Amino acid sequence: MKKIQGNDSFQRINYLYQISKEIADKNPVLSAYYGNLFINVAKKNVAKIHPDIKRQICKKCRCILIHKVTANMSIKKKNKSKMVEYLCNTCGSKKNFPAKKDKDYRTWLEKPESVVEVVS
Amino acid sequence: MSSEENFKKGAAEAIVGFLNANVAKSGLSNIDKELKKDFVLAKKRSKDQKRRASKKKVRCLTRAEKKELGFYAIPRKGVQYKEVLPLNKIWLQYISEVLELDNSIPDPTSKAWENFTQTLYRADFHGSFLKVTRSKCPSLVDKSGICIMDTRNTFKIVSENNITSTIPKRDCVFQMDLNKCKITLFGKLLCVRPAERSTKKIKGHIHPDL
Repeated sequence: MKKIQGNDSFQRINYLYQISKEIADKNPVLSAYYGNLFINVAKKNVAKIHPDIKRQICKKCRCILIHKVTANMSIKKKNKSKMVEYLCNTCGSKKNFPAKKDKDYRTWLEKPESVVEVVS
Repeated sequence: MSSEENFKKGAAEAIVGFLNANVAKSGLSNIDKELKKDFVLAKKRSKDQKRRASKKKVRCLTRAEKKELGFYAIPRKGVQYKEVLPLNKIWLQYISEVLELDNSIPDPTSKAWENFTQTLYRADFHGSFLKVTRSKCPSLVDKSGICIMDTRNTFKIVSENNITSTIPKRDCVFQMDLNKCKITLFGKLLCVRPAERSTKKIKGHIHPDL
């Protein structure tokens, strides 16, 4: 396996994300604690978290958002465009994602041409 | 009201008089014109400023708000051992991947040993099965359980009879059970915030003493 800079912190973030998701339905407080921790680890190591993971955690309390478990998802109309809205059950904050039919909302990191090399 | 208006008029007259007295002769004819000049944009404010003020920022929870939601108080019997058992399963996978336990464990005298301890120090301990082997406080000895919280000075562990207890790191020696081997941790060296531990460097050999 090739050595990557900051690999152990990425592994740690991955692990914390996993356990945060695992415990979310039983104890949302602990889930928020782990979510908070992996963001702090990423901050300390100046590493970037993949947007896919980032979208799954609450902005305010940093708990994992899972539909019907820790959050409620609904589709709303705002200025003629539809929005997917997550309502966090622990702290009550909202998170909005635009969802227009004929628009590509992927960020650069999610596009296939951004991947240069896959290291296993 | 009238007195105020009178005052304003008086002030305006005074200014005009002052200008008449003091402006150079070439400019005298221009005074009236200049005073009636209209500044078109003077009363208009830019739209950007107004918009920025009205926008609400999503902030993280403050400490007091977190406390109100019960983020810091984990009750003594609030967490079941069954609930945290899956954490231990994932943790074993994670630690074997990080430490590369599939390969042989390096010798304490070899060069790879330092790398091994460094990665262990940087790894995460949430979800590990910890057992207190030695401690300054005799009642803590032989306590064991799965670690659910890791703060600067304490571990929070859930024991098999569903009791959550807090154990200070500084005066304890822990034993970690991996599938293949056992690892002894000196709690004294782990007294760092969990988020900061991954960036901090440690010396290879520190003489441990309780």
